[in-house]
Amino acid sequence: MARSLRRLAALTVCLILLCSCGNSAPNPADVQFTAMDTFMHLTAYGDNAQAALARAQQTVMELEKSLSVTDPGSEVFAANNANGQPVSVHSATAELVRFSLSMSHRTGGAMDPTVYPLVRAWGFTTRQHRVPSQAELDRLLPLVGAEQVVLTEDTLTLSPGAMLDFGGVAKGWAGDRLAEALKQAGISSAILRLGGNIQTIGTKPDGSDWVVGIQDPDSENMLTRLSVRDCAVVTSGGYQRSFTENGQTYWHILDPSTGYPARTGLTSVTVVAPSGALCDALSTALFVMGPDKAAEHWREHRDFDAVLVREDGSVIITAGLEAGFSLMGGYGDREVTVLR
Amino acid sequence: MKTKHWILIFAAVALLCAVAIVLFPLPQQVASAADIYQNGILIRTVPLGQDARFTITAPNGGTNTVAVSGGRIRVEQATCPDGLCVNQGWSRTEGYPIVCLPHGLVIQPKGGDTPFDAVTN
Repeated sequence: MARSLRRLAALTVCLILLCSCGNSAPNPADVQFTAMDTFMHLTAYGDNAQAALARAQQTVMELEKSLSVTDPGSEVFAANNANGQPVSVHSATAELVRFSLSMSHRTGGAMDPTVYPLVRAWGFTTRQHRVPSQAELDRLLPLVGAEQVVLTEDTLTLSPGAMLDFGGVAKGWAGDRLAEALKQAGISSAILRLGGNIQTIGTKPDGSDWVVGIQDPDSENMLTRLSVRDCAVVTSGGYQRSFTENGQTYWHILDPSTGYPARTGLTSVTVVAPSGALCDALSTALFVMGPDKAAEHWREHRDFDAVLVREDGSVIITAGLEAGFSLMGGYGDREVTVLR
Repeated sequence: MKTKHWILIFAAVALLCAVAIVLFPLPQQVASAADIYQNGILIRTVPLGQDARFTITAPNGGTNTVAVSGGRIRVEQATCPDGLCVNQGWSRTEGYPIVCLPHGLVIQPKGGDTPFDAVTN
């Protein structure tokens, strides 16, 4: 009797000690910097994580330089200013051009890498906002479209006046390149915040999902929360860059076919998929398409998931997100539709 | 005491603990402080528990007026060209930094139970 009581006591003490050990998560490596006109904050776990992140920062800076529209040293700048002449490009640039053209094709032109002349006309590139005249847009629209771009294995030719800009996919593309490099360096748990573009590697060290908040397009509060792992999450919304003139609000997500801000009843689109570049391109494209065409696009491809927020505040989510999705406090009355 | 009394006491305590954990979950704490960075250098840490208002001047002469109220922090006013930092509104949570790129200013709330690892916007 006494012996089993002692055993019971010993077992109890062991259990208490085990439970009180607490959750000692390993210390993360962390780096914060500005690139691509955005504040970036990368967190990674594991041996050599700090060194891996330092290299990651370097990679982003190099990518930014090579894709710059304004830096005379970039291949993009060269192509944009070659007045119809072919320009030789490295395979990395060619790959991005190829990806952008394929996305333009896939989305029926809703996402278009040649909209730069239009975006510039609205002053979004210099933050000196203005409303261009219809005549000005009519003059610029013929310069827009995937057919303005001819890409061979290593040369890039743009029609005179046409311009490529990767602002709509650069962060997602960078996220993918970084994830590749970090995984190669042996990192299996990381979260990369490239502005509002999120890229995750694996899960958190304790095996749980990363918790990503989606901001309410109309306030600073978080509207919804997603639990994700090993994927990218990217949001596009008119509220990100806009200006108001004469009572009308104009935003930077333009409809490439009209040159005007896309007004399709959506305030934000968040896309979740393994590839950051795909998320980036699609979040813009689906915003331009509007809810009905976006739903159609999802049903046709099903290689991504999405959260669409409408102007009336209602939310549409694709079925793949249903499990890890929840509305934040204060938003419980929002109508949520699940696409299947 | 007899063995079975000890066992009963042990079981009662265990039950009480279980009940307590269910009935009184840990309150979700929001960020308790915010780190303020200027061009990548930590210049100040501000507790979010007391109201405050102060102005930060960037090396390039730009200014941001920061306000703390009700456990939240925001840039109230700024001389930057686009005022994106002001438009961001209040932050109360780690994972949602307030950023003024033209002035190199980053406000990072921290501490508390962090509801988000990241915010997409």
